[in-house]
Order: sequence, then structure tokens, then C-alpha cells
Amino acid sequence: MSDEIKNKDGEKAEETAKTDGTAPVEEKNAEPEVKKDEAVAEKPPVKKEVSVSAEPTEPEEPPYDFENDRVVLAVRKKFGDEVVEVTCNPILPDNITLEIKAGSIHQVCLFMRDDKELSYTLLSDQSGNHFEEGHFEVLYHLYSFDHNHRIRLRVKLEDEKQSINSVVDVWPTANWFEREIYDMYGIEFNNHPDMRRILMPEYWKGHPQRKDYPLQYVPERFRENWWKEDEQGKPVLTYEFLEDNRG
Amino acid sequence: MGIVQHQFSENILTTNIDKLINWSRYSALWPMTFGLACCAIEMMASGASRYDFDRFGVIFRATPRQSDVLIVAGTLTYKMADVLRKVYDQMPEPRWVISMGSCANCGGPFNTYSVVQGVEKIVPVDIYIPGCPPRPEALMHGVLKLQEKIKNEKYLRK
Repeated sequence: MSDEIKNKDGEKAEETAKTDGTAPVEEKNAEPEVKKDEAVAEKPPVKKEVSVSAEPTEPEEPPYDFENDRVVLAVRKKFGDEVVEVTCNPILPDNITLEIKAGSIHQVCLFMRDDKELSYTLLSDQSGNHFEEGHFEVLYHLYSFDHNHRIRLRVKLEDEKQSINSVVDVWPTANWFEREIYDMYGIEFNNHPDMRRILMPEYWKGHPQRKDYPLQYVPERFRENWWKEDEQGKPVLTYEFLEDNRG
Repeated sequence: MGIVQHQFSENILTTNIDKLINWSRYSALWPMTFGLACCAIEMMASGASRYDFDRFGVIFRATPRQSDVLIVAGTLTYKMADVLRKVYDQMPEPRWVISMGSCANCGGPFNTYSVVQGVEKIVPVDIYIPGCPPRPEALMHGVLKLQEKIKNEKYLRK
């Protein structure tokens, strides 16, 4: 990708030089190897650009036309405006991400699973994201065994108060994924059968993967009662003490 | 020696009672296995035939009710801290604790919100074993040091 950009820039530079029609440009077009040094002495920056464009470039494959991908067309045909954006990773050309409006994610997921042409029967991962600007993302990584194809769905949420529908009834494996996203980011899923923390203890306050969460942190009930003994020489921090001070 | 000489029949030893008690304690240290991370693998290797902890009388028990020493092997999180304390409280006295590895000693590389920065914040520790993870020889050394510590304990005298 970067090579492509460079080449384009180089071409542009050449074009502009041609339109100028100045003397050093003619020298470049002729490109005698011996005279290059003189050109450097006269105008070093121009010469640099020429050397970039003069590099031999292999003919590259045209970038993948992901807008006309079979899956993208099918989802667009069915849902239209509910698909906000389609993006594609330039390094992994067939790795497409569809951004879906938060309200219709459940219907889209159901369609992705049940449609014969798509049949994304596996939710291989579901992840969250928090940005410093304040918005959240939920990502669905789908896999189709029938077509050996992967795709991602992305839902953008303005803040943690904006709700999103659970997809547990579409893929049961989403149960723990969504609990983990709730635990780490505080995004609550509607219609989830068991919406509680999965990794952190139940008394925990806050959601650790948020950008504003402190890196080092000691829970309150542990802070004051590190190894201490009472008047009779018995430890303060017993299991009963911990039980009583939950929350 | 004059008073007690030739006063006892065969197979009777005379010793002081502290030594007898301590001997019985350090010769059969049964550890509670509390493997939390990679240190647990080294602890298992120590118990296996190559290093063979059985020859020190160290036999791993899977229940706190029958153990004398708690080997905390690995990273302790706050979620697990309650369990560690519960296990420690269930062990009969006298009981000792070995903190095995950097994570158990001081949190190791995990200076984060979820990791306890040293198990001494939860239970009192007798022996700290450095290493990441410590080799079985190091754990063995720690157990021998604990035995030395028990040998010098005094229960009856002031």
C-alpha cells in the first residue's frame, strides 16, 4: 500500500514538472546516468523524487473490490441504510468489516446465520473497544463453515448508557463473550439471560478495560486491613471478615 | 548421668520435649497444593520422582485439613485472595506458609489492578523463594530452610 502511495506521489511530481516545462525537467526525461550527479548539484530535492519514480515497480494486483463482495451486496440488499459503512483491511484483502446501526444488530445477526448464501454459523469471537473520545464499539467475528469465510460486524455506541441487544439466542456462545464485554467495558446487553461479571469478583467497582481506569488499584476492603492483628493477637483479615465486607 | 544411668529398659530414648515435638513436625511436612500459575508446574516436578520430595517426608495433600504447610505457587489475584485466606483458615495449627516465586512474593511483573502485591498481605509468610519460576532445587532449599526454622521453634519454654 505504501509503495502505491509513493509511486502515485512520484508520478504526480513528474506530471507537475512536465507542465512547468523548465530546463531541469528535460534533463530528467532524457535521464542520462552520467548527468545525474550534475542534476543533484543543481536541484537535489527534485532529483530525489525522480529517483523514486525511476525505481522499477512490479505490476500489482488491483485492490479487492470489497464494495461488490457477495456478502456485502447481500446484506446491503436486505438492510440498506442499516449498514453504515463497509471497510476492508488492505493487508488482508478479503477481511471485510460491516458497520451496523446499534438498533438492528440482532436482525442482521439472525440473517447472517440463517441465510443459505451466508450461513455464518459460528461466532468465533466477540470483543469490545473503548476510545478516548468516549464512544464504544462491539465487534462480532463470524465464520461460515459452508463457505470457509470470515467477516466482522461492528456496532458503534455513543456511551455506555446506550443499550444493545444480546445475540445469545442467535449464537449461544455469545453468553460469556457478552458477560466479558459487560465486565470489562460496562456495556449492558438487553435480553441477556445472565448479565453479571465473569472475570472480576462480583463486589468489584468499575470496568477495567476503559481508558479512564487506573492501571494500579487496590480494592477498598483490602486497603486498610493488610496483615493486621487485633488485641488478642488474632488476624483481622479472616475469611469471615472478607465475607462481611463484600460490596 | 549418674542418676538416670542404667535406669531404663531397652528401646527408650531420653530427649528434651521441644526437640521431640519439632522432630515430629519437620519430618512430615505435608504441604497443601495451592498451584496458581507456572510455579505449580515446578512444584509438581519437585514432587515427582526426579527430585522426589517424599524423601523429606513432604507428601502433597489435596485438602487443607490434613496439611501443615501452604505452598502458594503463582500469581495471586484479588478474586483468588478470598479463597487463599479460606484455605489458610481451614488448616489446623501449627501451620506454615511458603511463598513460591516472584508473583507470590511481591506481585512480580504484574503491578496491576487485579494482582495482589505479595501474599503476605493476605496470610503470614514463613519462607520466600525467589525465582520466576524457581527451579525444584530452589523449592527444595526453601523446604529445608523451613525445616531448620521449625527445629529452632520453642513451644514449652518461655
